Amino acid sequence: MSVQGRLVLGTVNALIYVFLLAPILVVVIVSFGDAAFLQFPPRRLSLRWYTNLGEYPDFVASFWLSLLLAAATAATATAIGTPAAFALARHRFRGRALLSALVMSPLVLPGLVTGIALLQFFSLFRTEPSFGRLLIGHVVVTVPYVVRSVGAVLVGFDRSLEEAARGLGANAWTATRLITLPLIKPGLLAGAIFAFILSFDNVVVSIFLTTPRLVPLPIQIYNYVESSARPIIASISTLQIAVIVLLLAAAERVVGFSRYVGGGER
Amino acid sequence: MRTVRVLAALALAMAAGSAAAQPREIVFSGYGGDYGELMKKLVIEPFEKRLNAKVVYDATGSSAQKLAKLRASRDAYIYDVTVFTGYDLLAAGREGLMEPIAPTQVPNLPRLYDFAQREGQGWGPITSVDPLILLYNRDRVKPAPDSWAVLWDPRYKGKVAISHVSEGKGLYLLLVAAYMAGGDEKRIDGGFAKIRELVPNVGAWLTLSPQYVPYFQREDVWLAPYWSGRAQLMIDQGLPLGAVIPKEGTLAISNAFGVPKSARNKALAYEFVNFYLDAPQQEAWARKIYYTPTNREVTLPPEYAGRVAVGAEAIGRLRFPDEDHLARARGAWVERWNKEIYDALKYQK
Amino acid sequence: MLLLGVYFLLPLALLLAQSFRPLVIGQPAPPGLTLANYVRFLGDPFYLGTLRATLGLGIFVTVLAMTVGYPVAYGLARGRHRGKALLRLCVVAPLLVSVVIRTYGWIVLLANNGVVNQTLLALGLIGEPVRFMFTYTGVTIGLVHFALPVAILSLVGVIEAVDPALEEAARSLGAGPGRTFLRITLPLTLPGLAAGSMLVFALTVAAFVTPALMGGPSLIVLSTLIYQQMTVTLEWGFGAAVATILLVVATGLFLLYQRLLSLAPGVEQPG
Repeated sequence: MSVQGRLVLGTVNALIYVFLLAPILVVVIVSFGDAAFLQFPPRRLSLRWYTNLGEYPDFVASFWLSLLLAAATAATATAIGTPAAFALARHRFRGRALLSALVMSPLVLPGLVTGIALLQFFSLFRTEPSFGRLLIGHVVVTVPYVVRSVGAVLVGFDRSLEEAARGLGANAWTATRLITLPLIKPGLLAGAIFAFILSFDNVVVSIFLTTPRLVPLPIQIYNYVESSARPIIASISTLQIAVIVLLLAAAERVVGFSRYVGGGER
Repeated sequence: MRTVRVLAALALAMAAGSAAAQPREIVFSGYGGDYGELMKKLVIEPFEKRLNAKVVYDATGSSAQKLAKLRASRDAYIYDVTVFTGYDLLAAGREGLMEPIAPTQVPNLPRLYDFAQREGQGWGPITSVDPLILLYNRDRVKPAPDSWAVLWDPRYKGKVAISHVSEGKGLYLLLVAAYMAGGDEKRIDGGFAKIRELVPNVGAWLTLSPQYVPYFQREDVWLAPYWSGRAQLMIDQGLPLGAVIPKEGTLAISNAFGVPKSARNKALAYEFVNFYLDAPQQEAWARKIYYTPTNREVTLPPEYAGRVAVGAEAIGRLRFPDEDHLARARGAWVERWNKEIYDALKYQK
Repeated sequence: MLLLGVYFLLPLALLLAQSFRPLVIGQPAPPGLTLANYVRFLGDPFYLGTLRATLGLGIFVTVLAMTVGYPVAYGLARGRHRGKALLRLCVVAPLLVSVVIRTYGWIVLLANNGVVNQTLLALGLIGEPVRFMFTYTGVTIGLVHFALPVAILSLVGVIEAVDPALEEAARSLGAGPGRTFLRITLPLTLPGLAAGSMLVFALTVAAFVTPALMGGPSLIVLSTLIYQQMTVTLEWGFGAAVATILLVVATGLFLLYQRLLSLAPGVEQPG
């Protein structure tokens, strides 16, 4: 790319990053305020809303629950969505196009409707409110991401590589493990990360599936902002970003995932 | 280490989800934030100590969302006792979701003002009421307003915040407007006409109550119809605001407690309702959250005058709409509001 | 797959069944089936208008998010500078905070007395505050912000998969940067563009909180109507009918879109 081209691209991108981060930055700044309510700009800086975090043990428990739920959602959604994407990309059958469009339906349906419908459904069968309910709700709304992401990389996938491996004597599993998986990994990881993050942020489906003892963090925050404008939610949100960023950074060290979502040095 | 403990607690909680509920345990469904913190401190902790029981607090959802959740669960258990806005309790009761509550179960009922003893056909007591007040910026709105008419004053074009009729504040504003136009909840047309006239003055269309805070704090808006209790909390937090019941009078919304038919531990749920209606809890609640208590034995020191309406005389000045009618008519009003305000805005352009 | 089918299709069937149920407020539903809920929506110009507004907003936000997201994704896929790991985290940052909290950030920035307006006023660029909140612009900003990470993440993978040697070859044969992009990069990244735009469109038409908190009564979308019916008026039959209509129309659009893409030269239909 030419120097000017790079300069233009760089400037445009810098502006977009500012746009992406601006509202988050506001929240971070507000969290260091001193007032009893959300105030921007803060008149005085203080760590007040961090030091008194101990008074809000519910938020901490909810944070770990959400983390667990998001991880379980990502794993389950990937396990279900990947074979679905393969089926849609590789098999020619009648109604394939329709099915491919219908896969998106859990996303198009406002989460509130999915939540109420699932609650009615569970209540019909008298299943106890549980972690499983939340997980099912989250998996239902995140699977489309996995199907789409994996589907997108499968489009350009050269099947002759797999066949070549088989021709060289590899069995189906070996061919999948050595050839297919590495090639679809970007889509797989992008889908899993979508699932993780959207589960971690979900309010509308969860609100109907929570139990008093199992309250995911976004619901805990939503309940709080529904009746109070205290800055505690700003400091919780700030810590939430910090912890997730650290976790993602750690994951990058271990798995190098970002090479697949954010492009690595090649 | 801490993490391990939290995770262990979570695992336990998940296991408990499938085990049968403990005999001396109820789930109370309330609200989050300040309400939840005070409820735990002022009501739940003393109750647990006194009755050697456990109350699990469920803070999820607004009154409307709690109703939707109860309705979707039908006869499957979700909680033992819940808070509701009056008209939501009525709707739940009429659909056959609520257990009637009588003085035999809740002996404190006769201590309440007559209007508060039974919501609908006895689906639960009204535990507190909260008038719609006029909230204003003390620095910007001078002299201090004393009439609802100030909302329509052209000087405050773009400086008024209101809520949709699907929210309590919007619903009660519509009622106030109807009364100002010489109607009431059953003759609502004049109210809609006045709301249409209000449109040019509206600078913020808000939903959640705390959403009003940043708009007032940044002085994007100066005036709003708002709930009395929450307004007093905002004033306590140091915002330069005033709250007044205008001279035309006002209407009050009711908060009620109810026990759903699907509750597991109804006996303890009734005890909890009764405990909350005791004078000491009602007074503590009124002092901290500025809701008007419905137990007639509650009195407050003079410094609360003008901040909470307490006592037969102050309550007598509040108007209470026919909630049964509200529960029935609200659906049509939501549709009408959507269409008329949309029209009014288009016309304005 | 089967499990998912059970858990998704059964509630969907429940929804569909509900949309054909008559409803009298405050009473158990009378027996029988009715089309009244659909007639109420489809026979009312106001409601048809909200359907058009929802789809229009969805398409507008999708086009914006994919256009704005493309250069960022390109930068991430091709850039070689340090600090890229940090940039990658910045892309997902908006999704790490609850939507209500994000919206608070937007209120502070975009209100009439907000940071943006005060800055523009101070610089003398505008004479009076620009209205962002409770306008189409405001909702668009909020939704694009939410959709961008999804748009970017769906593009990065496919852009990376395009061999830079192909672009260089085109350039060395005399194609300008614009032509190289249009003839090489864009067609090769079309699957990602397609997948991303379908995700973004679905997210946008289903979004409820952002239109509720940032949009005013002049922009009523279907999710707002559905919320009102499900939690306030309790006319679940009507709410379910609105949801079903949204689902059918969106699925139709997806089918059309897939068909259009499959007609584009050299592009296989995305799965």
